[in-house]
Amino acid sequence: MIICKDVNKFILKGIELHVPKGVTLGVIGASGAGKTTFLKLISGLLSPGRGSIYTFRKDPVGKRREILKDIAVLFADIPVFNDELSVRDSLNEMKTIYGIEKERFTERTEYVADILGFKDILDTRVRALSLGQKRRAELGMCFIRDAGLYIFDEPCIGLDQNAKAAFYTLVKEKKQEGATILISSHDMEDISEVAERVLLLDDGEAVFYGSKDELVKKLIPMEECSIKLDGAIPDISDLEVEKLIIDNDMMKIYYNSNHVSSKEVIERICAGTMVKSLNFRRSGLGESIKISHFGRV
Amino acid sequence: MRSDALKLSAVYTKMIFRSWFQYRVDAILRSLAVFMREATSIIVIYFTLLKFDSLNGWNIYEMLFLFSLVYVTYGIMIIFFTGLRDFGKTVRTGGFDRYILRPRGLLFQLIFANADWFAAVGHGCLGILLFVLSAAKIGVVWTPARVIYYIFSIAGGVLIQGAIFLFLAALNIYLFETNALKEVFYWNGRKFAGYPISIFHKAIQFCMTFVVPFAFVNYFPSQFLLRKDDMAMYPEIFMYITPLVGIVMYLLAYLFWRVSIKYYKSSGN
Repeated sequence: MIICKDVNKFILKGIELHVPKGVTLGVIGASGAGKTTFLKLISGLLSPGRGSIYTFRKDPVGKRREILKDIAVLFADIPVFNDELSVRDSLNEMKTIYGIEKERFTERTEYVADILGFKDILDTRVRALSLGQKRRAELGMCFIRDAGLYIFDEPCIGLDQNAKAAFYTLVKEKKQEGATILISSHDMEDISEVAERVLLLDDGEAVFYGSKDELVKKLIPMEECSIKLDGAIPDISDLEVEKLIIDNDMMKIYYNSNHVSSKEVIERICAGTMVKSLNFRRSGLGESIKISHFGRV
Repeated sequence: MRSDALKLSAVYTKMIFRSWFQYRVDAILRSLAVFMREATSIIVIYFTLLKFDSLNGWNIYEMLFLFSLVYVTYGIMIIFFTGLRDFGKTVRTGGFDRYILRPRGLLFQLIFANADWFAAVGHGCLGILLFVLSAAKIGVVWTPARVIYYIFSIAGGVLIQGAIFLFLAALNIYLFETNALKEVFYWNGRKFAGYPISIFHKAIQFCMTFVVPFAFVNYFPSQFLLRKDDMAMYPEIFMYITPLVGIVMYLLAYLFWRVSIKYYKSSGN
């Protein structure tokens, strides 16, 4: 479905991957890691500086008009609507551009507008909508169409919990229909519910590409140990920890329990100082990625 | 052109009408504001020219006829070429990327998805008013042949100005900002175009004929109808070729656009 061979563009360096048909891929990375650039390359909005990309086995720039018939795309920095028109006007425009049959269009509009909660604002001028309403309608534009590839760049920005849940439902439905879906986010939690594969970008490099299970196996269990000290700060420099935060008498240690056991951590701390309290917690996948790859919580 | 291109252009037209004329009073007032803005400059020029019997053989009504052609052609042209006039802004706001992400021709979308109807109504109505005021007083007998010639010249004038906007839009891909160039080449050129070009310095005459050929929008077509003495300064064939100049200019601008669009670069984010 999507093939990248040694792709370089702007910050992206040597991206090499193959996304099979029907896969839901989460593209994760901090701001500026290259997520939007990657998705723009796939959709044919940018051409690679070096290397090659194939979307539907075609050059997405050279065969733009051919492949775009089967792609629904939403970028955070590209306006979807004309602010002077109503949402319905833009939907009608889309219906004509993509040749959607009237019955199918009416049925999908009803369903998607209902689930995403923008039914009441269909005839409102886009200029008068709040960010959240606009975002829901923008997502709706993508889901009303039947496409083979869906690309969402930071789709959860501006969405409340209900809208996020509706988005996940619609993604799952499209996934069941066999569509390939790419979703970028700076937050793994946003996409961990739907993505089965993950591309982890760090400073333009693909530091991980594989199934979510593999990533979980690699990063989890990431443990968090919070210690309230009653003495000097202990020296644990020889322990293989991922991150150490010291704030006055509070100490937080993040470690992968595949490499360091909790028992070892407790023994080292207690041997070096007095402890008022100890608290252990297992980190989630998103938190683990942040700690192990971006060095922050 | 695709079979449903007409349908899509009809959808666009309907949408644009709904967007521009949703608030009718507002639409009328804004169109009137454009009309008054342009009319004011014409009134000033009118009272200034009343001090002269003629300008290089052209009387006041003949000059109003020249102005009428500028306004009528602009009024029609802007219905189709607003997207090219505002291309720089469209690129800056990400709107052009939106067009790229649709399986349609980029120029088709730029042309049909945008139309400044306030400018069209304001300029168009002023052009028609000036035509009505001047046409009966310039001694032209409006035979069917002359009416046809007039219509073809209007079409040629529309294409010439559309080609200038298309050329500047293509240039925008390399330069990113072409408002200053538009000001110099288009808007200043248009100011000169209200007068018979024979009154200007040779360099301006050359520019108005061969660089930004506004002379073919109104001066040479008017010469066909009025046959003024100063036409002796130019080859007679210039009176007949406005539609051809329009077509050739538009094709050249279109070729430049096709080449340039390959160099368009979206931003990373």
